[in-house]
Amino acid sequence: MHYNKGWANGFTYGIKYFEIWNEPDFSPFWAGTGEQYHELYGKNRPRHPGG
Amino acid sequence: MTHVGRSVYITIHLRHWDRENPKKCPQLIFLCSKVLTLNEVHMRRLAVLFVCYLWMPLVGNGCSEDSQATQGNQDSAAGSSSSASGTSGPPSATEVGGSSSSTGAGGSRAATGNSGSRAATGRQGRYEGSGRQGRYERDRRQGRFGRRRWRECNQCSFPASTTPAAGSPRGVIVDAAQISGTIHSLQGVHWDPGVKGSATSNNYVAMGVDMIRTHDASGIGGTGTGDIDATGTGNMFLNMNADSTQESSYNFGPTDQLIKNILDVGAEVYFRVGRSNIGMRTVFQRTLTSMPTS
Repeated sequence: MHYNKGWANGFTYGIKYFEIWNEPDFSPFWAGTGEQYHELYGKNRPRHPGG
Repeated sequence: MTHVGRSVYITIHLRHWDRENPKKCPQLIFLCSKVLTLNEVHMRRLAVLFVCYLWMPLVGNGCSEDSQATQGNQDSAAGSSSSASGTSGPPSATEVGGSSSSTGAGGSRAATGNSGSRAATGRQGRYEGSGRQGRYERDRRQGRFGRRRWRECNQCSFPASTTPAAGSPRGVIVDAAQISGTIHSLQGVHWDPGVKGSATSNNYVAMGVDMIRTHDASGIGGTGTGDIDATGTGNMFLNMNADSTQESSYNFGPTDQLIKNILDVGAEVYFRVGRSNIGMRTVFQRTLTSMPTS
């Protein structure tokens, strides 16, 4: 939203590539389950505040 | 070639020929590895060397002895084997020779059918002149004169249906003169290029960097710029207990500059919602899952 939709006095760059989370299969970076990761991905996929 | 002018990692091997057991697969000897910046001449020479290299093991399969038996298949083999097209049949010697000469590379005489023919004939002529024709035939069949056998092999053909035995090399022809596409770019990085005109930024442009990832753009334990969770003060969400729906909860300033730096290089932004601070994962996950969805 911030970088593509101008949210929070942002921009309209049209960034095409987003990735939700780094290394979700690696416990130091993701302590949850696979289902929780999918929930997180689903919530942020449409509009991440940065995107 | 599309990778002319690029740096590549070259490994050079040499095949050791066992004269006592010529049909044995030649032993591969590692010579060296080196990073080279290729130009057009390099590519032509590499293509010729690659063709020669691929042909070496074919001699060990008894090419000379089989040449008569496969002679009738020469035309079909030549017609079916095309360069780098994935056809299963190995090419004819004529095609290899023609490919080598078409690239204009030097030092490939041994791989051409014509020169190979001259060399073999000369050797045979010396035998004939000394009345040792029988010995020549015996030596030839026993696989002596490794170099000459290879040259003779270039006059051989192989049936189009030849299938390499398990564990043996598969014949592949590389034609450096034929461009079939562009190698997918692997020139992405994840370090902040800095402001336009800085040394890193200029070097990225010179290197052709075309994609820059935001996560860990200042390294693990760095400023946190580009991250949504990091120990540094540059990350985008400083207080994990703050309301993620409020603009005031975000610290976009440092990452705004990072994005601008990336775009100034002319690269694509690879925006990863990533974390570097592994000590706050539980709080962070709870925060992200409560973010607004619209």
